[in-house]
Amino acid sequence: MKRFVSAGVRDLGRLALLLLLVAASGMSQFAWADDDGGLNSAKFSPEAAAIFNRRCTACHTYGRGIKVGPDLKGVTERRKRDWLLKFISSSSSVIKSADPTAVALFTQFKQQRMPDWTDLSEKQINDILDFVAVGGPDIKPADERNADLATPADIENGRQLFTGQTHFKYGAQPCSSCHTVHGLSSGGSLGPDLTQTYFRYQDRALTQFLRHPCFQWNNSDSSAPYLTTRESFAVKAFLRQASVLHAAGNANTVQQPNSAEIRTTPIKAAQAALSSRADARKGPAR
Amino acid sequence: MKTSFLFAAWPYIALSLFLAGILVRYLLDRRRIATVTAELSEVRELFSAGRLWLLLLLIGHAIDLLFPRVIFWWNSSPTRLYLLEGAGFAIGAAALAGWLRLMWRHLDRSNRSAITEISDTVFLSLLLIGILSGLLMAVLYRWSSSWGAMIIAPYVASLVRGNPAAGFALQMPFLVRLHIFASFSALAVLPLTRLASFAVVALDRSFALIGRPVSVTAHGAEAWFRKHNPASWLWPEED
Repeated sequence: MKRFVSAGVRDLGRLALLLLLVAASGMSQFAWADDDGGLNSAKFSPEAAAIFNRRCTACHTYGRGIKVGPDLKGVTERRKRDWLLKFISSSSSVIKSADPTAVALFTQFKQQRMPDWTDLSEKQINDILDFVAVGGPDIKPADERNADLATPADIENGRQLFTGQTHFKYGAQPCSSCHTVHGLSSGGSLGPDLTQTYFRYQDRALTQFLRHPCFQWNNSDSSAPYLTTRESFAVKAFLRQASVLHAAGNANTVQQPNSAEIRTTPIKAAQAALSSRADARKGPAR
Repeated sequence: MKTSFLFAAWPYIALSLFLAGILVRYLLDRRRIATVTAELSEVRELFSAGRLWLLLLLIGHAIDLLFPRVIFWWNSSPTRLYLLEGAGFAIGAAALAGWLRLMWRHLDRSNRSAITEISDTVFLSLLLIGILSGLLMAVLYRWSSSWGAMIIAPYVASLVRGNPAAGFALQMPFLVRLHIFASFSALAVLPLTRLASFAVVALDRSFALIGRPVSVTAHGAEAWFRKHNPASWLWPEED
């Protein structure tokens, strides 16, 4: 009986741990924004994020206290949506109408009022408010995740996007039309070999690079979307995998690695291989 | 000369030279169109070597540039990609062999006009540059059907729209730029070659076809005006 009870307690403990892990993974997924409608991801308009960064951050912080104007964290809970719409569109008219909240803010912030953003449509303002409501600037685009965190599925998705087996959402052509990585038989040779790209540029620079097309992509509209953040992350993950496998001297698995290989590919072994090559280049110690 | 000129202005200059050249050839030859038609068989015989392969190359390029989405779809399978690239290279190699036979025949017989002789030689040389650069591109820069549809097709589309995006061509390797330049140059030289006879005869027949209904209408209008001549109402005594 005692054994049975202790086993039950142990199971309950495991269950609690599992729930905690699920909750934690849910939270970590929420912190990355995906723009291709993926599940378990916070959604916001990239345009709203851009407007927020361009127009709001000069005077407001998000969760870091007062700057010139009030902290915007929780503003959508503190104020009603209608009031926010009116105030953002034309704070001067709301203050003139002797609205008590607007007047109080005006007095509190040294009689400096917010510019009238009359050029923003109601939809744009609503999108900005949605952006703030879901977590605002705390949310990072999915492609900013470090490729170390990629799952085997992400890497496989990246391989399929790279080789054209899966199509890019916005019609970008597969990387293998012009590029190859070591061990990939169907890669092109117009552009450079991308095997070492991940180690050469590292995660952050590669993220920035993948946000822009390699060549003049759309002549008529420079703001046309290129890759979704999820696609960008998957391609980055595949390139990282190619670099790691190449450094570890295991290029053949780039063609179609199985998930076990992906999981067990030792990054330390790759780094060791790189450092041993560097040592070999330096020559014998004097 | 700026490189951008070669890819922004030269295509239009080449096309203008081609159209103007054909028109001038037509105006010069229309009085002796029967002779030109008689000469066609000789020209046909001269250019018969490798004609099929050159035509296939031309059609392949046209599909790649006009229907890039078809190419993207086709190339999405590695097997089909290898098949297309292999076939393209084989046709290119056959076209090169055809060119050699064509050049042999060209050197073998002399022509009455020095200008035509020189023009034919220049045209054939440009053709050789085009074929050789194309073959080298296929070897050195793999999957030219894919990147051609991706980069060169938008460039050609921009030329058609009248807003040339020379940047597409300028960022390509030298061989690709040479291939494009040689193609437009061949087009510019074409009216001076013996091949222009085909265009002259085609133009003459087109004008004859278009002219027939115009001539019928003009005759009808003339008869109507004679019948309803307002002068007969004004000066009836003169009838």
